[in-house]
Amino acid sequence: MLERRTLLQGTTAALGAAGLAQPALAQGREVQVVWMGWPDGQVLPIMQEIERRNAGMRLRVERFPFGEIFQAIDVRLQARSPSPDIYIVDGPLTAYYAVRRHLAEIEPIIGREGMQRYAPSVIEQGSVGGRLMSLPLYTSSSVLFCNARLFRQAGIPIPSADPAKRMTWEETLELARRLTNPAAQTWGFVVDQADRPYSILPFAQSKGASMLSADGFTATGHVDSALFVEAMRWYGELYTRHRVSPPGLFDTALAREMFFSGRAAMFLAIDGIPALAGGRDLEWTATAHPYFAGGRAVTPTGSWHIGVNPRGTNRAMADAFIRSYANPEVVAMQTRVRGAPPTMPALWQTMAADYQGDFWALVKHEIETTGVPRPATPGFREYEDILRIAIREIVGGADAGPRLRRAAQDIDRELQKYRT
Amino acid sequence: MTVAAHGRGGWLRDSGIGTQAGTLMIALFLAPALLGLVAFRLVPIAIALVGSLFGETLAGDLVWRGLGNFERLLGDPNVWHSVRVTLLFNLLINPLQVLIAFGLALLVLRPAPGIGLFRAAFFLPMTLSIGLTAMLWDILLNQHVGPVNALIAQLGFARQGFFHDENQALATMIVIASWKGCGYWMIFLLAGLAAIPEELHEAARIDGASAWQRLRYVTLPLMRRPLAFVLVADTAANFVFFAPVFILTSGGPNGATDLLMFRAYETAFTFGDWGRSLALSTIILLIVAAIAAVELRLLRDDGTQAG
Repeated sequence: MLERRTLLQGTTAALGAAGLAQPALAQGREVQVVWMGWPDGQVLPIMQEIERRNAGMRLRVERFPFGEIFQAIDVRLQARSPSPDIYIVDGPLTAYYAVRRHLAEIEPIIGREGMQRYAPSVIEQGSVGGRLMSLPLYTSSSVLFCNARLFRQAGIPIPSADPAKRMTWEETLELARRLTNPAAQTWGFVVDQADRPYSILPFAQSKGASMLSADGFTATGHVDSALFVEAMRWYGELYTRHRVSPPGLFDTALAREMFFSGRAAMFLAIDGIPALAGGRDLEWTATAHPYFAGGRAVTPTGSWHIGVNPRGTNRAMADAFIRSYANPEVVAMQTRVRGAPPTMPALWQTMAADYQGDFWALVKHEIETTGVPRPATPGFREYEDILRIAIREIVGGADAGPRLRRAAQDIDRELQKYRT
Repeated sequence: MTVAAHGRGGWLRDSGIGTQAGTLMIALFLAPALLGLVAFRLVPIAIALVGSLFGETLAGDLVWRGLGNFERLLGDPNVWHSVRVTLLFNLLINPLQVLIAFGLALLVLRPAPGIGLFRAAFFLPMTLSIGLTAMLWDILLNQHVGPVNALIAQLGFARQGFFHDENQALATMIVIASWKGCGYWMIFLLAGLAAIPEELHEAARIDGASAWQRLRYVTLPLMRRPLAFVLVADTAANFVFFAPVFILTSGGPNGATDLLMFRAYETAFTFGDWGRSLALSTIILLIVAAIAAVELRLLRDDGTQAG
């Protein structure tokens, strides 16, 4: 016979177990995602679509600003934590995460057929030792946006979108001088990522400088070479000598706001700018990324990727997330809301209506002909951070020669560990 | 009289010190503070010391490095540059802050109408977070839009780089750290000054001592203990000075503010080398301990103390 106390204990235990089981069940379906702090409209519709495609999946998305995201991800991964299940990966960082065993291989999740839908260049950026370790999300290019209104006010013809009529940096500087108006607080030339190698390396590459040794482990002789120093000195003087660019402006959001609000006449930025501009009162045009006279045209390219944490406790759902993200319909949706070039070549045709006009013709041309990815090295995180600080200081007035020599030494020291 | 009858010995007898129960009571009262000391000071120090002898493979496996982390640090010319910058920073900032704090304490010691307002005003910067302080001064000193540079330009001088000028960055760090810190250290010194019996000054005055002589021969000897405390605590605080460097300069321009603490942070959180970072922390600890020992010896108690 069941005593009242036993019944009470049994009921309490059962209720307790049910209570415990609920979060456990929820945990099994919840996918923790660390993502870039892009605007809601570029993130939430896609996340909702993925939840819709996977019954019972709940996404917990944490978004970080560009300036904080890599450290936020690193702190968790280096603690060998099972969280997050999914995280965003800047393409060149794939090897950095892979050698630390922070990435699960992608091919077993999406299959060979799934991989073949992507452009070889983005597959290469997400691969380490021939294995795809991060799923391509976006690719990108960079063009020189112009504020047509400011050009007209200054009586300057608006540069052509034809890549054959690409301006040199010397010509661009001359225009920037004429377009800079301190009284109106208008700058002639603003860079979207003023201290990031993504935007700045093409200056040096245009002069013919190399970024890193062929094996990816030595910076001395490359980032402190005469050509590299010359290019960085020229870049720094835009801020210090010619004063056509706003010093100390390293926040991409602020730089974009400067262009959107009509305070930047020329804006060197990624191709997603028109989508970000939204309904702003801005009359923009685009021209090809400039190059140095006597040098060659080089544009940055590279892709954002998605990584799966191999220690995640929710691998089945994380894999389902990746499969959804590799679906061409989702890729098309994602590409459309972001206003980015597609990672799947077929989408240039199927989404032809979205890619009409001179601007997209220019972007496609740049990706296919002048685009150069950032250097391939497992130490890209260190390379980028050290170089970023050096670029900041050069923009602030430091002498490019000694500063880059110091940066090269620091990079060499940190890349040592990858040789073993 | 009552005071003489009880005296210190009387109080000790009354408290039961020396008995088992009394000892237990003392241990109980001290336990929270001692536990805090162990948990938040000794354990982290032990972790740093032990951790400095290990490293991590790229795959995250712990490996024994022995003194390898230290050897690597000592062989790196940039670390030596960092040591030099840190020592220069401390050589300048510690005496400066103690001197200013002492001066402020002397200024606000005497009761006067509105003196509380002055004391509060000097202490106020301490209530701001260090991050906020850094941002505030970055805006104030901005070369192009900052009001300080606007004033400098109005006066007909060239605008200054401050944090962004290799030759000014360290000095600017010292200025903002002192703006925030001096009021705080002033409070300790003010307490020390207030504890000096007024009769001593009075006697010196009657003997014809000038204000300088009273400061030199009465106040300063009696302020040795508070000064020693402030100097040692200030040194320890300034050796781990970090946030403004992290927020504003990242050790630059061209290594001008490359303090050891920032390098320890960068080594751990940017380069992911915990062992080397802990070795740097250990080096900072040893330097602070050595300097604090010298400072304490220089300001050794001769038995005539205030406070």
